[in-house]
Amino acid sequence: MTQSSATELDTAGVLALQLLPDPEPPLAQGLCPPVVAGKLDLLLLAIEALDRTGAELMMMVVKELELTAVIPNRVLLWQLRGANPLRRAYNRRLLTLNQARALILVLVYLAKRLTILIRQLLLAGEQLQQHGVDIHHHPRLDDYCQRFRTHFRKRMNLRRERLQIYRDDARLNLLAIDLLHQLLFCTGTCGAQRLWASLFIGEVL
Amino acid sequence: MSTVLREYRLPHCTLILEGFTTQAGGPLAVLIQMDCYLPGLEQPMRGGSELLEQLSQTVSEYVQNFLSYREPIPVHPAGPVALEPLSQHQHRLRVHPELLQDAREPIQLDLTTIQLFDLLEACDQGMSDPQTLPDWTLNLVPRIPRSLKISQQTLPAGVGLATLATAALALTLLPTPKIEPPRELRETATQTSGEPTPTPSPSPAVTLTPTPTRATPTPSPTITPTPSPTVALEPVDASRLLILVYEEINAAWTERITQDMSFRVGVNREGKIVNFTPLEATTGEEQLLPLEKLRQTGQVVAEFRVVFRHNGALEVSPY
Repeated sequence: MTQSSATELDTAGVLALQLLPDPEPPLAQGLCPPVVAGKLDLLLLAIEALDRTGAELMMMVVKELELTAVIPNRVLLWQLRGANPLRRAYNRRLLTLNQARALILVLVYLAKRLTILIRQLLLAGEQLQQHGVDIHHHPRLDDYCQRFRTHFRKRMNLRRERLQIYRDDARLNLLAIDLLHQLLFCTGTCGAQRLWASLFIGEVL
Repeated sequence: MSTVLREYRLPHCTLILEGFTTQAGGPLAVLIQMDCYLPGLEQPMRGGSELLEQLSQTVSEYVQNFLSYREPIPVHPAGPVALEPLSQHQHRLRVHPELLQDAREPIQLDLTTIQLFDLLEACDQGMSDPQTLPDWTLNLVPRIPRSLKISQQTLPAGVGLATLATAALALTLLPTPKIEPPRELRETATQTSGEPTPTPSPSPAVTLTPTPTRATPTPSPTITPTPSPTVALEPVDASRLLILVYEEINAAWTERITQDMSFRVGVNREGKIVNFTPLEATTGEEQLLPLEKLRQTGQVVAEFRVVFRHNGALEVSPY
């Protein structure tokens, strides 16, 4: 009985992964370029800044989505996050296609849970911008940006030339709000497919 | 067949599709009209399937660029549906009136990113809905740009493959040589194809030729009996026969002549001469030539121009 239900679980997870097609042209050795891990890690960082429990939730979501065949434990999950080349603890790992897909499914699941909050914060941001008011005047948005700045500075390697500009709070706030917009598109019906198709183009930052 | 409505409602955008089903309870299969309500529009944006297709395509491309590069990039600025960024989070949508019903002026609308998302989401919900236009689906495959760094192990193989691909590409650019079929071939081909249903027997007595050939019934009865028309030959056969004819005549020709003489020579399958016609006025020297001696009976399958030069040279070419 337990065995049959376990197989069912595995198939459900694998089916979800198959919704995300292989990139074209195929990748060398089926490994994603570092930009994929970088972009995913930053979006997950934004989720953590939105939801204090986000980090703990991630492993629960992996189990919930039946993706343990791809990400069996917390250690691997953090190793996959460490594949972001901007991190202090960059481990030079390249994600496999399925690991990247599994991270997307987790990210999209978490983003959908936060849809209302994301929309509220973005609307607030638009209104503040229209009236030329600083984000400090919106406590919830200010809270998000502050937490994002903290996470970012704690985990990313600010000595890298490209990250020097993020020593400035205003620049980092803009990045936080940009990532919030990206998360908004992840909450859509086709969020996972859209994010997946966008990951291989462009740069981490 | 019945009319159905599908409505996709989001905070800033409502998309209403009206169409037919082809079977009871089936999906909306044929779109009659779409209405798109967006903030800032007094009237809904109304159009047909082309508007729906162009709008969803443009918005989709624009959003994909935004997700990839984290900044908006203009999409189809001169197209029927254009989207251009005004700032990081302000986007200008323009729709050409040719796609719109009851509109003479283009629609121009500035959307915030949230409004843009709602428009995209309304389209995505429609595309994902199996009950709405089954052919209208999202097909997004990640594309890998060439600039992505290739790991060192795969570099040599990659360079090899790239060279091969470049060479193949260059070769495909060369024009394909045109194969011109021999003239006889074309003639018979047009004759046969020109008359797909020849009358079974117009007057066999008139068209009969002394040496019946495999040629299709010739439509005009005025064709001269000699030399008889030839059948189409494979080009390979013609060149093989040409060599046979040359060798046979060359071996038998021993007498010298004082001036050039040329003949149209019909040969059979074995390359034997069946008939010949002089191409110039005769000079009385033909009896010096071996043509009459070599003549045999048979069916003419090819014709050659045979030229005897006064210096002893022999030329044989397809007629």
